[in-house]
Order: sequence, then C-alpha cells, then structure tokens
Amino acid sequence: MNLFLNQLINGLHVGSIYALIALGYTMVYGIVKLINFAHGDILMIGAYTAVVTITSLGFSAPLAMLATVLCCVVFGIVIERVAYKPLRSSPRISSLITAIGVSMLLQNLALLIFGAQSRPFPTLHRIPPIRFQGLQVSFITLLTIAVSLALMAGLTLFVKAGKAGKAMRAVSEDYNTAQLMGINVNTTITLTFAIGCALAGIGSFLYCMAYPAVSPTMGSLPGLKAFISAVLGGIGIIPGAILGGFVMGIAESLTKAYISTQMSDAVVYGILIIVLLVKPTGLLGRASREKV
Amino acid sequence: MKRRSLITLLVALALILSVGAPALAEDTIKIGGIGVLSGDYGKYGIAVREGVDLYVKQINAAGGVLGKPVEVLWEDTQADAATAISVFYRLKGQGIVAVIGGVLSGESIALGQVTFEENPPFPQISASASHPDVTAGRSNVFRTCFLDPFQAKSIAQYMFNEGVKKAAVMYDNANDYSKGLYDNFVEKCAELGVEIVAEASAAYGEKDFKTQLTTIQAAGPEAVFLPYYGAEAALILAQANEIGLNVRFFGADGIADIVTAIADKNLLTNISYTDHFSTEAESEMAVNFVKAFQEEYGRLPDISFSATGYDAAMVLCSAIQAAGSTDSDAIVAALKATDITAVSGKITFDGNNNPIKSTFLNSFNAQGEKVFITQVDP
Repeated sequence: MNLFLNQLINGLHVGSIYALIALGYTMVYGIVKLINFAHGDILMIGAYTAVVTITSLGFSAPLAMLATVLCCVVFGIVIERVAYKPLRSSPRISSLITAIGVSMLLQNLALLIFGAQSRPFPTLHRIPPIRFQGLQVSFITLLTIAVSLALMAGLTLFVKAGKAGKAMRAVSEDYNTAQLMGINVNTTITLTFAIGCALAGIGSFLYCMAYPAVSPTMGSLPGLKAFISAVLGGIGIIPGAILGGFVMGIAESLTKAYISTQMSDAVVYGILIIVLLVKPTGLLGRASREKV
Repeated sequence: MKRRSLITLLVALALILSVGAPALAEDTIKIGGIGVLSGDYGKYGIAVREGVDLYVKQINAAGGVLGKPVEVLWEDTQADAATAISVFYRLKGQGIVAVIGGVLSGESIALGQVTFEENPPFPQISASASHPDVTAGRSNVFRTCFLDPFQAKSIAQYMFNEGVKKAAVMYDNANDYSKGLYDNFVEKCAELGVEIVAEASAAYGEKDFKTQLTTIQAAGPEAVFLPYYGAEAALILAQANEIGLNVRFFGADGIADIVTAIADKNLLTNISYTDHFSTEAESEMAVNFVKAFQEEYGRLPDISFSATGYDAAMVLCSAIQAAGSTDSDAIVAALKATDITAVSGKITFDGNNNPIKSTFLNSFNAQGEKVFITQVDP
C-alpha cells in the first residue's frame, strides 16, 4: 500500500510539471487556435538560463528562478511578435509550420551556443526526504506539487475574476467581436503568451531540479507529453490541461511501477486514443456548435 | 630473347630472396604489430605499442624467446580494415610468426578472418578489440582485454566478497551493452548465492527513474548495479539521493564519464566501476609495470591498453616459449593453454578465446577524482 502511494506521489510530481507546461499550450490554443510547438523549447531556454545564471553568474536559487521566468517571457513575447503575429490572418497551417520552424531554430541555436553534450544542473538543496509512516516524499516533489497547485489556482482566479482575464476569455470566444468591444487584442494575445511562457519557465526550473541534465533537445519530450496532456483534458480549456497533466503523470508512473517500463508511453498514448475516440473534445471539452 | 632473360633474372632474384628470408628469420623471432597508429584512434594503437615494446625490451634484456631476440614490426592500418589485411600479407612475407593486433574491433574482425583462413591458422592476439566477433569461432584469435559483459561478473564477485546478500539491478532492456552486463550479473549472482531482490528496466535517454528507484528502494537491497553510461547514471544517482536511497552503486566501464555529467560530486563517492587496469594497482607485476613504463616513457600508462598490450606481448612470448617452436599450430595450442599472471591480473582463456581475468574497481572522491579500490580476481 505504501509503495503504491509512493508511486502515486511520483506520478503527481511528473504530472504537475506536465500540467504547468500544458497550460501554456492550452492558453495559446484557446486564444489564437495555434498549437505552439516551440513551447517545449521554451522549457529548454529556461533550463539553460538557470544553469548559466547559477553556475556562471553565481545567482542564488530564487534569483535564478526569477531570471529564468523573465528570460522565458521575453523569448515568448519576441516569438509571438516576430513569428506568429504577421501570420495571424493567414491559414492556420502556416502558423503551425512556423511554430515547428521556431522550435527547430531554438534547438539549433542552443546546439550552436552550448554544444550537444548535456550539462549537469547544479544541486540546490540538501534537504533529506520527509518520511511519514512508511511514506516518503522528497523535498523537490513537495515543492513541485505545491508550486504547481498554487500557480494553477492563481491562474484560474486570474482568468475568472480579473479584467485582463475577462479580456482573454472574450478574445478566445470571438476575436473580431472582442476587438469591436474595445479590447486591445494584440496586448491580450501577448499577455497570454507571456503567462504561458512564465509557467513554462517555472516548470523548467522544477523539471531541472528533479532531472538534472540540460541539453538542446531536452524540451521535445516533455513538450510533446504536455501537448498530449492538453489534448487529453480538452485543448483550450484551462482546468482540462491541469487534469490532463495529472492523468498523464499518474498513468505513466503506475504503468512503470506495475506493468512495464517499456510500455509506459504506449499505455499513456493508448489512454489518449481511447479518450479521443469516446470523447473527441477531450475529458473536459464541450462540443461547440458551428455558428452559421 | 630479351624478355626471356628478364624473366630468368626475376626468377633468380625471387629464389635468392626466398632463400634469404628464412635465413634472416633464424636470427630473431619476428612478430607483426598491426593496428591504428594515427588519426583519431591513433592514441589507442600507440598505447598498445608502448606496452608491447616495453615487454619486448624487457624479455630481450632477459635473453629473448627460445634463445633468440624478439623483434616487433609495426604497421599502421589508419583504422582501415583493408589496409590491415594488406599489411598482414606484407609482414608475413617478412617472416613474422604471429600477429599482435588489431587495435579497433573493425580491423581486428577483418584481420581475424584472414589469419583464420591461413593454412594452418595464423596466431593472432589483440590487446584492445572488444567486439565478440573478433574471436568468435576462430581457434587462432585471442585477446587480453575483456569483453564488456564480463565486467558484471567481477562486480557480482566483489559484492559477494563485501558480504552483500541482497542486490538490485536497473538496466536498459533495449541496449546490448546494458543487457549483456545484466545477464552476466544475474548469472554470477545466482552462482554465488547473492539474491536479486529487485530488477527494473529503464530505456537509454530516459530522464525519470524515480518510479523504478522507488520500487528498488522498497525491496531493500544493500547494493545496486547500474549497467548504464555516465549520462543516465548521473541522473539515477541524483534521483536516488532525492528519494533517500543511499546504498552503494556499481557500474561498468561505460560509467567512467559520469564525472562531467554530475553537478554534485559528493554523490560520486557512492559509485564504483570496473576498468581494464589501474595505474594504482597494488600487485607486484602491476607496480613494476607502472614503474618501468614511467622510466621508459616519462609518464603514467593512462590508457589501460598499454597494460593489456604488455600482457598481449607477454602471453604471446610465453606461448612461443612453451610451444618450443615458431610453428603456427604449436603457438595456437600453447596460447589456448595460457595460464599466467600478467600485469592486468591472472589470465586464462575461455571457449571463445576470451580472457577470464581480473578487473580493477575504481571509485571517486568528493572532488570527482578517480580513486582505485581493489583488484577483483576471477
């Protein structure tokens, strides 16, 4: 029983990181209907920022985290303005291909600057795992889950209650009408990218603390899994991304623990296929009627 | 008429040369040294050559083999298999009685095919080629470096010697290197009575090992074997530390590059790994070898293949001495019966002419420097 709970906690840990990244995918999709394939590489940018600020510039962990978030936000805004904004009125496939191009650009840029060999991420704490009645939770796991939950709650509140959040929902509902209602659509879209990238920045910091190796292609796999989490939960829906992330993480961890490590990806993708067959809009998705 | 005289001249010349060759061979025992000596891999061949030349110098000072001095004729293959074959024929024309080489697996496999097809098969011994096909099915080809999977047996033996009763393994099911080590480890543990309490598999390139480590931790092993390369091992050690799994970890030679992949060097003190040789080895042979090598070349034999090269020359010269002749069949038979203590430990050969020999266990200090632990004998 304890082993099962420990594995469940491991799953929550991975799942909360997936959820943080998935939020970026889902928010951007919700507002501009673009699958931002470069989002996983923002994770990589964040990781390198953290490594460089800590090891070369000697930043403390909180300061480095702040720098990571800032750098990710700047990259997110620049990418949106330079690569996606000019294509906003062109067919959706153009933006999609541009996103793939940006992803490759970022990866190769990192390859050029930092080299192909992976770099170790510095150890930032020496806190032993917390043990409680045979259960044990490592500090990083606790930190990751707590930070993720807090951020998700904050984001939900922001979108539900704030003025900017209201603007976001309005733009995602109807782009043109929102513009007519006097909402600054460009600012709102930029804000969405910025928030998504900030979450990815925090996610990347937490990810590196748990898996301390930084390489140019490190963003691809977590990016892909987060994207799948977003689709699983219903892309464009914020609670859906969170739920999707946790389902992915727990399914992955329990498959590894009780079925087979080789099968874990197959099981996770299998779940995705079944969900999409039964409920094509994802777990929390609502079928939207085409307005004529 | 003119053409005929030319042919006659050539035939006469050939006759003189063919009479001349055996006459020369009686003065010295010639051995061919074939391997890559230039380019990216040149350092390995040069390491082997330095070891071989050192032994030959010593044996000649002690009176040679069968009462004659030994001479090694070196040829560079430039890492090319076809070159290895052509230089073999050239050296054979010069009267060599055996070959030390090749250095890389590719050239050694090609060379082994040619020496095997000679009639009788021509004695060959490699100091560094680690691919199974180099010796597999070839009665005449031997080597003094162990194959990758062999190291796992030494690790199991060491664990047993240290009193470990319960061990765990984490490996990559889809990787030959890892799987081979795993199989040998499990086999040796069963033989020694070390219980495998948990085994988990995680693929190369994976980053999350916590699930597997949690399972392993629950089984309560005293030591964990990790047949991985440095990059994965670094992640595994960090995550094991994170969940509080603080036992001894073991790896094979692939793990040696972990130093560059890990930020927290303290974790390195938990891991030990096997190697072909250590310059800090304590056996009398090894100490003398390191000393003589330093006197000869002015530095430490940092690449282990200098030691295995020295051993290859020693095994071959001892075999020629034991055979009592330079006849190919006699040398091959004597090689097969090898049972000597060399620099890199005690050496005998198994059914596939691979050595059953000692390995050297290393670990790291908290600064990430290599530390020699012990020599593990089979």
